[in-house]
Amino acid sequence: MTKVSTIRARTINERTLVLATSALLLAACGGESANAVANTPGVSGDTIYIGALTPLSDAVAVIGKPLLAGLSTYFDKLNAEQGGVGGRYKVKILAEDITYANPSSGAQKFQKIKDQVAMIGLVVGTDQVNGVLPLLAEDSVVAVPTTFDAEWVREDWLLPWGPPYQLQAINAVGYALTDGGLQGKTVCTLTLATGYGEATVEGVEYLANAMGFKVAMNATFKQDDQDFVAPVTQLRNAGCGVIMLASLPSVTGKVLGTAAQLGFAPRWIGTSPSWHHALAASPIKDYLVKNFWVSWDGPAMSDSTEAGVRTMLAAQAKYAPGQEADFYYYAGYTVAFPIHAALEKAVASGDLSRAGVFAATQALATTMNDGLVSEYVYGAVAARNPPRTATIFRVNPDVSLGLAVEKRGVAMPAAASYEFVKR
Amino acid sequence: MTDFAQYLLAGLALGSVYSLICLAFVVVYRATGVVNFSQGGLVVFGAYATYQLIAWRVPFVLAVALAALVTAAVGMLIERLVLRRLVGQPVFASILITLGVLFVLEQLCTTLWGYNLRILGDPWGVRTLALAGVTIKVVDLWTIAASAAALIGFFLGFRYSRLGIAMRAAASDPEAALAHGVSPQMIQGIAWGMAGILAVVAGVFIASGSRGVDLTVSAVALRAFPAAILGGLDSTEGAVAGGLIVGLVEVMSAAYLTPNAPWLGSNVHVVIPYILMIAVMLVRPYGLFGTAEVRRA
Repeated sequence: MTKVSTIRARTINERTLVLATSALLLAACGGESANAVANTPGVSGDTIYIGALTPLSDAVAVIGKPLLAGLSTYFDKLNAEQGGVGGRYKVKILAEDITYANPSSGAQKFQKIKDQVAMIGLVVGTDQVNGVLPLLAEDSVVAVPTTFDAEWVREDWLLPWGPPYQLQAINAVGYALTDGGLQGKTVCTLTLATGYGEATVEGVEYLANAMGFKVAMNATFKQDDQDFVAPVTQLRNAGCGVIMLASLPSVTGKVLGTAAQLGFAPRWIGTSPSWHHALAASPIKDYLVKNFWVSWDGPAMSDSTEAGVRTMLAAQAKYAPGQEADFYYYAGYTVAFPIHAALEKAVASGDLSRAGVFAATQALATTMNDGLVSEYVYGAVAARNPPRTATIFRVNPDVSLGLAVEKRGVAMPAAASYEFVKR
Repeated sequence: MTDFAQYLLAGLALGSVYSLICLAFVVVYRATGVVNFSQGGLVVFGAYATYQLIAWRVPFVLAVALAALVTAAVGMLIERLVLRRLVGQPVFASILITLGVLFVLEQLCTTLWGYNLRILGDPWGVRTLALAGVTIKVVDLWTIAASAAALIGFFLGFRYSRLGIAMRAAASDPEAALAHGVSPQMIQGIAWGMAGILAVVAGVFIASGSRGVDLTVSAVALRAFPAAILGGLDSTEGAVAGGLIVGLVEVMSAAYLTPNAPWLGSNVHVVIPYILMIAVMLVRPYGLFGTAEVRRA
């Protein structure tokens, strides 16, 4: 009390002198607050801006909007309940609308916001990530891809998360051919003609080499294809019993609707972006229950026994009540964990510059993610190890979001031996 | 042979939808001289409107009819508020404006209905019939039948009804038509209204079953565009022929070229309609059934 009174009694000149001296001392000692924000792109006062390149107005906004909402929810919660990163820096998202089918749009929007953000928290679309990748290195910006190509694992300027498509495919098809009761069935793929589809095929082909079978058919399609009688008939004629599908939600309905109508009932397995819960209430819901699995990781969104799921849903109810907590919202919320961890490291080291954020990503061990996905081992890029297990979901129209766990922790030997290389 | 019949049926059903969209292109082009790139927006709006009415428990047929009225009104509103102001402006201006209208309509849909996939709730679902080993989708039968009825109706209407004759007159000589009491503005508004009705029929068939309604429904109009050019932008017969040809070529090339000629690329079925369109235009620049432009030397 006496001390406060003494300070109050000082003249303005004395206070100015004290502040100036303090600032000089902090700077000289490498004080955290001073270094963290000095001339740092994307950091303004006590606010860190992170970018998001995501489709917000085209058809893939069905994925892009909830992804953004999930990411925003995580940081709204962090800002409100813990005061932000390091208890001090509030995180704000600077979102830019990209066109999924136009890979150059992500690069254009990156150029627009690169000087206003500390890092990029969402890049949606494998082809979009490929478009942005050279620019990240050029401008020393770290980005988090919200796609799961194995190529990202060894990229310096990417901070990937979640199980790569290749491993999703390896574990799911491997499970089908072993414990899934489909031993000896003919394996095929039907994939979107993009990098996302290619990554999925790559995983199935790898499994085929490892297990000694041949993929009977790799069929592709375009996102705006209207009729699927031809590819579905060809898959049927090839005798396909297990088909790995890399699709987007509206196409999944068309493909599986056609298969149901033609009476073709193999085991379809979709990668994570193939699913939308509306399909569980569609005219093919019974067909889906019998014939469709989804490969991803972590628990079912309907599993309230999982603490992470409960926390996420509580955050959604409080900070994004208008947002449906669908699969993509869950993914957006989950992607925030490695971003948060990297920013905490950067703040702790007193360096929120581009170099500081990059160094922080290299210094990460694993990120706490409330059990929503399996642990990703970070560290130096060459040593990164993504989750190598999968959860196989089956369709259950009676549960939230239409998916229940068929088998959790699927870990095929081929997934364990898959090597990630820089290309 | 069974597979061929299956592909033939699929091609005819897809071609029927393309024909409906081509007819909408033709109706607007003949009445206004505008190539309407916003047709996809009307298609997706019509599909969403039908979905909404069904969700409100309006019986399916009534829902389609009401959606057709609403979408026709939207089409007429677009003509009244935007296109009418472009009379006498360069063609490229109208093209850009209709592209802009497409984006506005898509945005309107997402504002009203969001981005989530919506299952239409049509009565066909995924029901099928079997005939001589060929699986016939019930929705395909309805698509072909409804499209044929609509196309015949429009064809006869254009040829024999007072409105059809007035539309043809306004298209061929607006001043002479005006002298006979035919208002070109009214005709243009009606043409856009018709485009709206055709959009609903096409949208309902595209979004039926497990496919559902989302923004990707609008893409069907761009896939139908080469069919409209192929048939001739000012010809109703051309709309039918172009739509059916492109639908069949698309399905058949996916069925036979893709697996047998992999060196052509995995999605050759998307390219073939455009190659066909270019080939036809090199020989007949006005399309298979279009009217050759006569110019004085």
